[in-house]
Amino acid sequence: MSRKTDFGFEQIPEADKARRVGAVFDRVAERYDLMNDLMSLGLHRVWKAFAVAIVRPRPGERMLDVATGSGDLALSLAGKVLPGGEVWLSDVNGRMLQRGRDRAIDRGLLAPAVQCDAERLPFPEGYFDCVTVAFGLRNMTHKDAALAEMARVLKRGGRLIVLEFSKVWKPLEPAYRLYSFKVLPWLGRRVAGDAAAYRYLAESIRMHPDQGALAAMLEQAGLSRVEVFNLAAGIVALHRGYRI
Amino acid sequence: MGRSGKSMGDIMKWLFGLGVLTLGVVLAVPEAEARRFGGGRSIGVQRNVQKAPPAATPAKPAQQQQAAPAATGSKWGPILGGLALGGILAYLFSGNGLAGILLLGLLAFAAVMAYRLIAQRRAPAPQRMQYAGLGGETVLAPPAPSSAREVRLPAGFDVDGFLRGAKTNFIRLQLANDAGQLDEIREFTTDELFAELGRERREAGQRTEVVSLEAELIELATERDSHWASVRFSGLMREAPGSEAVAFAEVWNLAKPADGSSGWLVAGIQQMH
Repeated sequence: MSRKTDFGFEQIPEADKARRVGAVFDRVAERYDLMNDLMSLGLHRVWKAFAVAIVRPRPGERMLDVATGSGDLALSLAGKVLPGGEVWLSDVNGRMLQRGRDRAIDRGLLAPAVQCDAERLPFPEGYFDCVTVAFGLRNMTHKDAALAEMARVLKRGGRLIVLEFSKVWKPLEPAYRLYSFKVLPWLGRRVAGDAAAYRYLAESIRMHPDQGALAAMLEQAGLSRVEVFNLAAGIVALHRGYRI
Repeated sequence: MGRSGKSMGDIMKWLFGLGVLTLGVVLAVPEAEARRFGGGRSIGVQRNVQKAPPAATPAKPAQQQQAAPAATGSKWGPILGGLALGGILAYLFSGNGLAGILLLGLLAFAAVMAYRLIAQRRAPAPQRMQYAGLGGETVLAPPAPSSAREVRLPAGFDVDGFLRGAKTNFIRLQLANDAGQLDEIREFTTDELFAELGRERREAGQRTEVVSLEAELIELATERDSHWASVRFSGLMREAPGSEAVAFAEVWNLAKPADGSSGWLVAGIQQMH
């Protein structure tokens, strides 16, 4: 019997997850940025700006943004490290990656875009000063393998930044549950014409490891000095670890 | 005595200010020269392309200017913002379930309003624009030039792909020009244009920053032994670090030998202002 993994609350064969997640993003690609603003009331911009502040990009550094999507985080970083440095966009989904690539060019930024699986990054060991993944780890089939790959391509002293939904502060839970299981799918239906895609979003957030568990996974992947920053009472958490 | 002393001081201040101003202008003059690839003037092959009206975005540079300091102002801004927001949420929800539900209703209401606002903005209403100096009056904007439709394209010509490549090379040439990399420039220009560019001595180590870039294919033609493509580049560019981003619009005339012996090369640049 094949091994199972989570797809939202469903258990599906591991081999199917990439395809199912890909289908979700193909369906929502057009309205992706608008939906991000609506769902988070614009807060995702604050969270990404916070991530940039934690990354502290310096001119000339090499950066990789995994699961870059429409490229928000990568573009902010590129503005700080170019010219002289490198910012690579990568995503497993071709349509999302195209959006990121086109947005980079429209802002006068030369950033190579690579369509690849985060569990098999096509980069040599110790190449990057910083690897970031914002709201992408959740959708990966083998999160441990992906984290290990990200650690592998980091230089010694390089840092990994993971921005992801996390476990909300307990008193907030009932309201947050109501929001994610009632309001989100409704918004998804009205705006993106796809309630199922946003139900998946809510469910995948629930299935994602909480702050402590993810910090342990980072350490397991070979990262040190792991720190966690909670944002919006734990709705989102930023993890940082160094390869030493 | 004290009075006259004060007025003397005032005059001195004025003179000093005036001096600084004049000096500033004198110093600023060399800076005003365009540093971008081609020097911001018309050079090389000039073609009889239709001068499309410049994009109606006069307010953009000003916005950009205001936005820039805010972005670099404080690196603690986002952190404090995030922390404060988390704090406020936590505080609001910590009392009891009721406050939480109220806040949730508020959030949902805000989301719906934002959705309606965006839907409204997306509706294809006639675009109104406001001219400076016309008071509060608005006038109907002329319909956007649909030049893309006028360009006759050979079957299977990938306009999006072509323009993407054109934009990438535009940025690369600015970078090569900044760094004084003649090899790189030679790779993307016709021999004639390269020779013409070579006559002006450029200083290496300058920095031109493309802030935004748009490209539009305005003509595609085959004449004798060459294909010609005219691409109109427009957007905002900063030609010295820290200076204000200025709007630019120029047409690049690209040529490619019909026998396919080379790719598209820049043959000339035409200023559109």
